[in-house]
Amino acid sequence: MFFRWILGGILFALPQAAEAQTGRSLALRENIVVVGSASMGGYAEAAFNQVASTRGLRMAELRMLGSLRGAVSFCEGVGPSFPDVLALSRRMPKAMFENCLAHGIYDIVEVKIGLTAVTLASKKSDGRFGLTAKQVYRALAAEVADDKTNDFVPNPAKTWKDISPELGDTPIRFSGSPQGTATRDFFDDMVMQGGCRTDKAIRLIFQANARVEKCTRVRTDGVFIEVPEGQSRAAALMAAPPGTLGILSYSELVASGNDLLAVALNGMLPSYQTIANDEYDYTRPVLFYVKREHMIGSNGSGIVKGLQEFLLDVTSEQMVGPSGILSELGLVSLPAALRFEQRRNAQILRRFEP
Amino acid sequence: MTARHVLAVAAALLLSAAPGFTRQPLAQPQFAQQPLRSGPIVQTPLPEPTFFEEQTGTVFSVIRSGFRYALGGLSGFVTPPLALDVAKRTRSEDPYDFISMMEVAGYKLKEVESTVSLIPSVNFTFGIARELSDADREWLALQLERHAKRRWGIFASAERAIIQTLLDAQELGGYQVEKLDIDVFPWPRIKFTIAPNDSPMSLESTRILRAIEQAGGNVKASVQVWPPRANDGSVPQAAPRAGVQRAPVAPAAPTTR
Repeated sequence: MFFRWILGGILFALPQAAEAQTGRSLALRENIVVVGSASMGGYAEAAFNQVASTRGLRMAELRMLGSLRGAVSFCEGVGPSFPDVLALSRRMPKAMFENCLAHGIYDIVEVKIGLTAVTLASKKSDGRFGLTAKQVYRALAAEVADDKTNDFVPNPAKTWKDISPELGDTPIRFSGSPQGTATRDFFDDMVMQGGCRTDKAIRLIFQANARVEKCTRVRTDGVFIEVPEGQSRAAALMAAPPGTLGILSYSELVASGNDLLAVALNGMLPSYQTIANDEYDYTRPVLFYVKREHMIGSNGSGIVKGLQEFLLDVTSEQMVGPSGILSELGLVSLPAALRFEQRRNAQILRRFEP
Repeated sequence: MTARHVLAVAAALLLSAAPGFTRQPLAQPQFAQQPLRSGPIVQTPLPEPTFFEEQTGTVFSVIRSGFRYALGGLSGFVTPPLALDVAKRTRSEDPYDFISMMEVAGYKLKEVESTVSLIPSVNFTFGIARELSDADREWLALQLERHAKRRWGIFASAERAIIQTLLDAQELGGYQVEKLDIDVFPWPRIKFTIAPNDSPMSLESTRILRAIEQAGGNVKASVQVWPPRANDGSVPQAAPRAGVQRAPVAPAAPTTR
């Protein structure tokens, strides 16, 4: 038994020494594992695709379990069986960080790569709209609570006047991506759930899953035109019947030039200033957290290759600059000084402190 | 961590009891009539206005005022705020209002308790009303950041600390704050009741659940025996109503036992 152990030790140590001599790295896992918020999946996928193609690495494994489950999984420990990267749309709270510390994860690097904002837009010829999130929910949800009985019934509203008398007689029409895409998930989380949060019948539902389902299931009676993934949502809105409101990311709205008009949501129009100043409500940051313990160390060994390269690439101008790869997915770039600061954090692997 | 939060909040509330820490401008002194044991009724200036005269805001504005009221009113017998009056003032459309944020955090104001005595007491009890979705948590975290930018001062910090503690308890996974008690008088105190998600039910809840299960079983049993059958297994026919044509019912196959 004793000799077997010695033999095993030699067999384990030899390749390591050889790797260190030749300068190649020895990783315990081939691909990076990413967990986090489902709505961050689109950004994570695009960023890791780019890193994998330029650096010759294997594509990351994305497990977008939701922010809470993702964070719990991220903080479970250090080792090949634990995730390497956490993608969140809010800053890691102190409690989460303390949970990480309790499991031996002391070195986390945080990079904020930009902001996302979801907007509603109309064609210029339709004029400017102003809506509240609650009105959007009441117009688009598949089922809404009956005012008298509080029971959920198929949404009967045909025109905006049915939602509120001051909104006019325009037929209700929306266009947007299917569920599972970054912009649509963001819209569901912020606008639809935000709009239904104050609804009396919704507030009586204790279970989160049941509530989310009621809030985010959209109508199937022709009011919502689904734009297949990969097609331009702005072009689909231009081709849609008059009065249609399109669910777009802010960058899509900007890219459309003067053809589309933003809808004021809760009295605030989306603009670079209102998004950057956090005045427009439907804005959130995109953040990545990376375990330093999983990076390849100076001795050439570690858990997984490519984490440091990912941090450098994901903060590069080519990725997060105003005309970067992620801006095509709707990412609003940070101001230049903040982008530089994030790039610096990635270079020096600044330790995250909540 | 939670204990630290509780201590911080309690310290904040204690500190804020000092008039120097109040955010709202003090109103002009008013005159109240105080009965004495003997002699005529005299007018004595009070340092602060009466409890609800200047307040239009939230529960926390009521709490703020409560502190000042307690300080000003200890010299004599005082009338504490009535629970009903406080409850009426808890409806606010302001998204950064404490009660609104507590609602987003999944907690609802259950009770406002006030005691009439030499030293008045006011107690607020919040209970869990909803599970939070991921979107709720993200929204609340953003709202707390915005709240910190827009509102400052000790009371605003205390409000944020309370809500952050509720969020933190859920972030840990497997735990939730079931109940939150905020006492204003005689000593400021905030009590969080944290319980595991899978904690055993109380005796009363178990009894109710058993009764529901039993009722469910009875309903199921009665559905199984409907329609009632005769001893030979056939379904007895009721006399048809006038004008109603009844289709002939085939006799059921005899069951083997």
